[in-house]
Amino acid sequence: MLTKLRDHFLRIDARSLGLYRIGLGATLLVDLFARWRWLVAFYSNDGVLPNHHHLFQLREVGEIWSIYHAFSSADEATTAFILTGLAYACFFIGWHTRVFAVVSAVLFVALEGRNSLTGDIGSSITIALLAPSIFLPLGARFSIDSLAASLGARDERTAEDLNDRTLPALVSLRPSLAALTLVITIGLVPLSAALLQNGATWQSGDALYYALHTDRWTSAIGVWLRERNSVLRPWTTIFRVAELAVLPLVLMPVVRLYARAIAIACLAFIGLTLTLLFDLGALGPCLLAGSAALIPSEAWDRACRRTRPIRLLYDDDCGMCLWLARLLKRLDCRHNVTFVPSSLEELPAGVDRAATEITMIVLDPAGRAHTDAGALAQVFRSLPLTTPLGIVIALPLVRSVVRAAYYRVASNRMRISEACGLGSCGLAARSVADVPDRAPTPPATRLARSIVLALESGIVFFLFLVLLAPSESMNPVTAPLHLRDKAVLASAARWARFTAPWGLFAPEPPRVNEALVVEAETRDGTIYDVLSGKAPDLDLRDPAQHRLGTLWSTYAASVRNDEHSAYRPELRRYLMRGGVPSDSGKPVPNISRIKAWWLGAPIPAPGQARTGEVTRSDILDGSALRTTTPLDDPSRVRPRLKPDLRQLR
Amino acid sequence: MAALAIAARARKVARSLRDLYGVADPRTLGLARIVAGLLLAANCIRHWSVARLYYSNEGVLTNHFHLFRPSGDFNFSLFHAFSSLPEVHIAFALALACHLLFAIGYRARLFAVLSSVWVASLDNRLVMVENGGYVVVNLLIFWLCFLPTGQRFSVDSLMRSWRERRETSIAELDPPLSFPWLTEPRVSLAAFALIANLVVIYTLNIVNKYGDTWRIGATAHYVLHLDRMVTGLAVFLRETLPYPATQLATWLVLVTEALILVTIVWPRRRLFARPVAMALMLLLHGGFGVMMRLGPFSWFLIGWSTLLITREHWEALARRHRARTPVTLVFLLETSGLALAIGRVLRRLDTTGSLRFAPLIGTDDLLAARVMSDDAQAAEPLVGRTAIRAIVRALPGGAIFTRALPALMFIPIAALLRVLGRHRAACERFFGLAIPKATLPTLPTLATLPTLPTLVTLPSPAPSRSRVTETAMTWLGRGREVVLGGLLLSSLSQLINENKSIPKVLHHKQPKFVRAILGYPRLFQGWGMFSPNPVRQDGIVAIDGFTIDGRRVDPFTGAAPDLNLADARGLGLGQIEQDYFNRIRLDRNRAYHKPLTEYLAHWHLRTGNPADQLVAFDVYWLEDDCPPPGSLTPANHKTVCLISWRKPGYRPKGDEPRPPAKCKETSAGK
Repeated sequence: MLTKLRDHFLRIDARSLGLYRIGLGATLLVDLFARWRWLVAFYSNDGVLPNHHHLFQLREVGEIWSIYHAFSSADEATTAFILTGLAYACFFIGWHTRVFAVVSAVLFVALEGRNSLTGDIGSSITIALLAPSIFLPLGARFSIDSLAASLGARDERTAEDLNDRTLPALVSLRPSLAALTLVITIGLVPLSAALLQNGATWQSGDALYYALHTDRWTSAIGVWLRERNSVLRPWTTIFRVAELAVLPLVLMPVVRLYARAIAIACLAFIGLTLTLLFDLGALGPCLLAGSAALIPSEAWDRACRRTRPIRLLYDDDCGMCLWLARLLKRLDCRHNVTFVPSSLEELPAGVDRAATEITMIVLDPAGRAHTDAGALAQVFRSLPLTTPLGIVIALPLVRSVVRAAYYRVASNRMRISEACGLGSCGLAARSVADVPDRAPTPPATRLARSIVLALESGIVFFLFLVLLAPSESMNPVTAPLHLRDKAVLASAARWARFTAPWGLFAPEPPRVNEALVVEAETRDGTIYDVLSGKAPDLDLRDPAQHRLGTLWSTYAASVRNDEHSAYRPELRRYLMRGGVPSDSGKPVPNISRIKAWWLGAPIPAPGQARTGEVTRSDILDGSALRTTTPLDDPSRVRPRLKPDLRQLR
Repeated sequence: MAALAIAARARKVARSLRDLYGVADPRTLGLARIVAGLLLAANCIRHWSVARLYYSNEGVLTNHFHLFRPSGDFNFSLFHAFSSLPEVHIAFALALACHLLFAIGYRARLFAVLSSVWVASLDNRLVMVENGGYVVVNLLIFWLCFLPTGQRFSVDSLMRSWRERRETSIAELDPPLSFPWLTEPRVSLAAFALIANLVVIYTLNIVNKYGDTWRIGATAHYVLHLDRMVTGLAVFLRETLPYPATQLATWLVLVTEALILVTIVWPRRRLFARPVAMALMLLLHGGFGVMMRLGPFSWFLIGWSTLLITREHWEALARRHRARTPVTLVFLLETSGLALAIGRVLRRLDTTGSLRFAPLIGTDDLLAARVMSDDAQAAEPLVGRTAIRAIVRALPGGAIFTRALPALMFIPIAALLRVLGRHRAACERFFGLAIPKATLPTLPTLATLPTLPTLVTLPSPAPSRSRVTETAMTWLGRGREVVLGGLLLSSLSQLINENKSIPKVLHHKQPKFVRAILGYPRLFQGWGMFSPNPVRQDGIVAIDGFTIDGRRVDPFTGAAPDLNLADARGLGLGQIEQDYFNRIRLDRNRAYHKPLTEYLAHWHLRTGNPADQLVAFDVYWLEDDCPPPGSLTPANHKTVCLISWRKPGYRPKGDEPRPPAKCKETSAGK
């Protein structure tokens, strides 16, 4: 019982961790590419916040560190982003996983630190997930590391070896506090949000309606869906219920398989909602990736049951064929493939010995023999996730192309084997001396591992407290712990850029649609918005014009606050240089006057027409002048857009 | 036919040039890595000691100001990302770790690159203190990045040999290691670049010294009177040596530099020529190093000289070692995994094959030894500390240890081995050390010693790389050489543009990418120390600060300001301080007066004493002319006001002293 409880709380299946790593790595890469679009604006000295200005503003505050502060020009920032992308890619594919997990976490925190005005909840949650992940064996499955370790651990030479599936089970991992931290963090994020979402619109079911009417964070699908209130009301209710349900379901030690399945479904629903309907950065993808870590071992065992057994006849004289068979064995987690050497004296019925000389042969579950491309299609159909590929290969035209390619390789297989150092023409069977000794782990190694585990647990516990501390004031779950009073925790949280509250759309979404619109006047009197390259949308009628991504959304919302007024001169400089259209290096017209309006239009109640006034204040004008313009005022002069400016879009 | 003959001759010349100057022995690279790594670590610690003042935001040049006003077009430094003093300490700790890991050869290629990045970053963070020495450091580590410096004398090579030859019995320990990579030389343009750059440094240092002070032999006299950079030894020498002696020293410098150049490039008798070059470099730069505070220049050039060692030198040293050191037979306890592990380590330390191994039976000792002199029968078996001493002595370089260290030093090691031997079963269990396989019955034992045992021949290790991998490596190598070729051409372009002695007609405009390639890692090629003539003006920055409680203080010294340079007998300044003072005075660095002013205005926050608050200060450049030959008294003392600052709005209350009037700011040089 105790063992079961320990495994439930302190262990995550290695396959779940592998899938989680792939998801998290993909999230980091997608996030990086999203940032790359605004590299000049946010990460170079030609943008809204040059490194020297940021460091100057931080001189008294401190507690922010970013390696990206060392990169000044756009070219230097591009180099930094390429290196970052390489680190993320290594983490994604699981090459030197532990090292690149640490490097990726540091780089992500540094990316966040480069512009302290762009921190959002998505980034905070990503950091919260990355922190305990560093201490977990994310590369134990579905990674280059695990493949290399597996190939190195056992050097199969015969079909008997290949069919021996009693490989040391990598799924059995040591219990660790990091596993519990990760699972709790994944569940705590939606629960905290749900408890904070206590506004009237969440009660009435209109919360998503209002949230989707804020143009700057709503996706195109969200805009399409936002007027369909009959769909949004139940969606809102399910969304909140799903948020509340995740943590209790995750922690439930009984009916684990079903509880976890429901928890994953809830998390996936939340993640997909936030990914498809909103543009909130890494938040949605991060939750989707996190759901992978919740998959229990039982689910994997069920998924890995033998479903479509096939027999594969391979050339056991060919080194390349043997190597591919070894690879296939490792991909075939369902144990569907049985390997048969072509040199076997009694070949299975229906197999022509002459054919085995020129092609591999697959006997499908019905006992029919398939050769070349057909055999390849059968193999793919029996492997997990590759069934569609098998079906595609079986299509007539594709089949003939694949067949030609197959014979090209097959006819040169001996030469390729020799070139790759894999041996050919009678591979030596494994002698007793070749079998590596499987010595038991010595006590010194065990002691070293225990010390490392104890240290890791201590660090993980500290990190967990660090993650909870800043969210405490906005987090009803952890408020009684009074962590915020601990200066060390608060300081560590600021260094880690874990500063955004966990309350998404809490206590309720804004009822005013706010956006930044820039009115730039060129020397020849043309007026256009230097963020979108179009005519300024001062009525907030065109949602697409305000959809600039989460960086601009959070930056604009921050810079409009007077506490960040010191950052405005650099914004003015950036806009006066030509803003977004100038990022690409194209020449832009000289701007003589500029206004950066923070506009607010009241969101009409569901089913009602848009009424009220658009309030606006010029954030570049320190006087905080607020003017209002009635909506649909016929006297408004529409700004003039010169045709040549359209090229800047 | 004639064309073919010319082509064949050209190929032959190219081949011999490649063999002479384009080949690096892995042992040489290993030694150079250790020396360079340790020097980099020492250089890093030297800068770390002044981190607060020069590399943090508490100092004279904050990171945000330097990013706002960078020192050049291609100014990149990791140190710019570190603001506060604790952050800067972390940066220096990381840099030091990289240098030390490079020195011990752990993932040598990776840490060579990281060391190079840190070195360039350190230089770029405070370009004002850069001198030729910094460029030497940048160049040395940059070129070393392209060479396999971890192939010998490194953790990497130890791990590799440990992996590639797993001795399981004492008999297998006996044959010396014979991996091809142990001695396989690397033919590369990087090896050529390292020698060529050294040649360029000396050539231009000679060519550029065409001034009259060098001709009349007055340079040493003037240089010894530069108080801002001389050490106490130089002060002693200038006060005691007669002028003809300094004249002789000047000409000796020129002759030595010329001799170094000749002995480096001399194509014949390199076994003698190169050591002469190394000895001359050690003498010349060692002399500079102990008399002047020039930063890393002298020490890194001495370190660079290790790259002059060739394959012949290593072989000659090995021959000499073998000739002077009798073979030592090491007896290892036959049934002990711990003894086998010790034997495996000894086998890897013994690169000349002076150790042979045999089993030890019927004792508790882990090891014993017998020195196989000519009279083998008479040789006594050695145990305990004497055995260890004999083994250490047989190892390459071991004789130096045994001579330098008293015999008593080996007692603790012997005691440790005795304790381990007594508890060997527990030790072996704890570390998981396998018991060695049984040895052949013909092997001798400590008790019966006829002659040296016959060497067991081990099968030569199979080639570990496939043809595809080999091809890929070959193409990667070619790519590397192409890149190196580009870098050499860029360096040549820089060399032409940067040196005054190169005819102006050859000067040209460099493309931006060439300037970037050379500018970011600061791979410059302007060589001309004290040329065409040495500076004859000595100078220092002094602050006349006026505190809120009326004291006069110089925040750089913490004492009362000393505005009299005439009585100086060496200023005791480090290279960083003296170069910063010498450059901050210049008009082209006037922009950096602002962060200096801010530093001085907030000096009391650094000291923590409110009474130290400066309400007024004047920054002066004190300058005088070095004494003419035959004299010891400097002349023409000048005090140039660089900055004059008064606290805005400050009015003394009551009896509080009134700050002096502002001085007039003037130029102290372009």
